[in-house]
Amino acid sequence: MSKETTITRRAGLALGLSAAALPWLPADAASLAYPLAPVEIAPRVWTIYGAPEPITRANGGAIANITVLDTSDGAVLIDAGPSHRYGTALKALAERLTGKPVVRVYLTHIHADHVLGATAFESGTVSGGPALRGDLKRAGTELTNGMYRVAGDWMRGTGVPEPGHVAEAGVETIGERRFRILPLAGHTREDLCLFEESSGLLFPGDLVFLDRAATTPDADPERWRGALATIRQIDHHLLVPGHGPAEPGGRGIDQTGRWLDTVEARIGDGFSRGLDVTELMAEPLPDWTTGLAVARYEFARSVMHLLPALERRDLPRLSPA
Amino acid sequence: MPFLSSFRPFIDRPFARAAAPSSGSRDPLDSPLWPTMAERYLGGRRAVFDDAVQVVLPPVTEDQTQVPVTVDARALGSADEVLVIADLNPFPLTLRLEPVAAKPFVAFRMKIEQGTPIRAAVRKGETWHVGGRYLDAAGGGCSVPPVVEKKVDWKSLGETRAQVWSEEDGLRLRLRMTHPMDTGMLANIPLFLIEDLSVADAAGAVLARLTLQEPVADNPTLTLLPDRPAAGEALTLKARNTNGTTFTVRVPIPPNAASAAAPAAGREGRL
Repeated sequence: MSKETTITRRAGLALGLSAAALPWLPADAASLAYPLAPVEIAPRVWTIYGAPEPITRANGGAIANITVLDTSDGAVLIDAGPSHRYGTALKALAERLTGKPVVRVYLTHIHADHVLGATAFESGTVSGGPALRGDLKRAGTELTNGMYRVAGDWMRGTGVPEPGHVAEAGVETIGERRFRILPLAGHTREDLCLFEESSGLLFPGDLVFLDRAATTPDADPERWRGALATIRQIDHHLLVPGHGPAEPGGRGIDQTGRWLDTVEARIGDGFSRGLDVTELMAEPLPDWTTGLAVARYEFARSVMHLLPALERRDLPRLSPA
Repeated sequence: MPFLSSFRPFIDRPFARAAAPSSGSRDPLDSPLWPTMAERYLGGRRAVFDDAVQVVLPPVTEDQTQVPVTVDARALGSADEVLVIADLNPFPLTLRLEPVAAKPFVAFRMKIEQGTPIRAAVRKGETWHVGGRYLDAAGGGCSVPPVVEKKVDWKSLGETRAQVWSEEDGLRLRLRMTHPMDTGMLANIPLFLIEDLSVADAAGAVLARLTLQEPVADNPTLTLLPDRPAAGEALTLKARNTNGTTFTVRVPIPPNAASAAAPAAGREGRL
C-alpha cells in the first residue's frame, strides 16, 4: 500500500511539473479573444457570422450574426454580441473597418447572444425597442448569470446594458443610410426588424434563422408567423438573418416558418398521444430538417418551452369526485 | 519523456480497475456522496448498478425549477418500489413510487440546485437496481432560464387536469395538479406540498402509490403507466397535501379501441 502511495504522489508531482511547463494551461484564461472575421456582404457592410452552435465555453456565446455598416456619420451596428469582451473587440473592429466612431448600435431583441456586448458602447448610441430597457432592468441579471454559467470566463466584465435611445417605428437617417424600423414580435415579445432602404439590406433579427433551427424560449408562434408575413412583403436585395448565411430571397423566412409549423405539429401530436417531455424529445424529425444545424437540440428545447403550456390548457380539467 | 515511467503505474492501476467488467457494484457516476445515499435510503439491502434502469434527462437544463426526468425500469418487468435520488440536492430523495399494479415507470419535473447525479433505485425483492445520469445544471442555447416570478394560483389550488390513454399493454395516465411545492427553504414560505398521491381503480384497489418530496416541481405534472383494471371505467386519483387537505378526482378510462384512433405520428404541418 505504501508503495502505491509513493508512486501516486510522484506521478502527481510529475503531472504538476509538466503542467507548469505547458504554456497554454495558465495562459488560456488570460487570452480569451473572439476571432472576429468580418465578411463584406455589400459595399461598406460587413457581417461577422455567428457559429451554428449552442452557446458553449468553446465559442464564448458568439453564435449570432453581427453586422457593421459604414455611413458618412459613423459606424452603425446591428446587435452587439454576447459579452463585454465581444463588444469591446467589435467596437475596435468597427472603428478600424470604417475609420469612424460607432454612432448607433441597434439591439434587435433581448437575447443574451445579441445584447450583452452593448456595455462596451456609449449608452446614448445604443438603441432598442420601447420595452427593451425595462426588460433588461428586470431580467438582465438573470440573463448575465445564465451566460456566466454557460460561457464562463468569456463573460468577465459583462454587466446589464442600459440602452439610452429608443428605436421607434419609422425611419432613422444616419449619414446617407436610411434605417426603417419595424417593431415586430414573436421570437420574443419585442423584435426589431431593420430595413436599410438605400442598400436594400434586411435585418429581421432572430425572426429569421437560416440553415439553423430557430429557438423558442420566449416565442409566441402565432405572432411569429404574423411577423414573418410582414417581413415577406419587404422587397429586399439581401436578407441577413439573426443566425445563418446572408442571402437574397425568402428562403430563411420560409424555412423559419416551416420549422415553427413542424415543431408545433410534433409537439401537439406528441401531447395528444400522452407523451411526456423526454419522450417527445426523442420523437423523429422530418428529413428536411437534417439540413438545419442543431435541429435535434433546439427541438428538445422547444418541447420544454411549449409542451407545459398545452398541459396547463388542454389536459381535461376534472371536477372533484 | 523521463516522466513517462512514473506515469504508467498511476494510469494503469485505478483506471484498469474501473474498466474491468463491472460487477455492477461500482458507481458509474463516481459520486462521492453515493455511499451515503445508499446507506440513508436503501435500507441495508444489496444494490447493483443496472442498465435496465434508465433515467432520461434533457440535453440541456432549460429551467432549473422544471427539469423533466423520466425513470424507465420496464426492462426489469415488475418492481416493488422506485426511488428517485439526486445526490447533490439539499433534499436528495425526490420521489417514491410503489407500482402496485403499474409499470416501474414515472415521468415528472423537478427542481435542482446545481449539477447533480440523478438516480433511480428500483427494488425488486431484496435487491435494488440502480441507474442514473449526471444532470448538468448550466443552462444554454439562445437564452437562459426566464426570471421566475413565482405566482401561486390560490383560487385553483388542487385543480387537477388528467387524461388516460389506452396502450397495448395497459394504461397511460398523465396528470397535472395546480399546487405549489414549497420546500420550506425560502424565508417566510413554510413547507407546503402535495405529499401523497395514489391511483386506484373503481373498486378502490390501489394501482400506484407515490410520495412526493420537496424537489418535485411546482404544479406536479406526472406520467404513470398503470395496469388496466379488471373492472370500472375510471381511475381515482387521490392526493393529500402537507396541510392534510385531500383532493380526489375520477379520470375516465377510454375503451381499448381508442389507441387505434390516435393520430399518425410524425405528421408535418399544423394540426
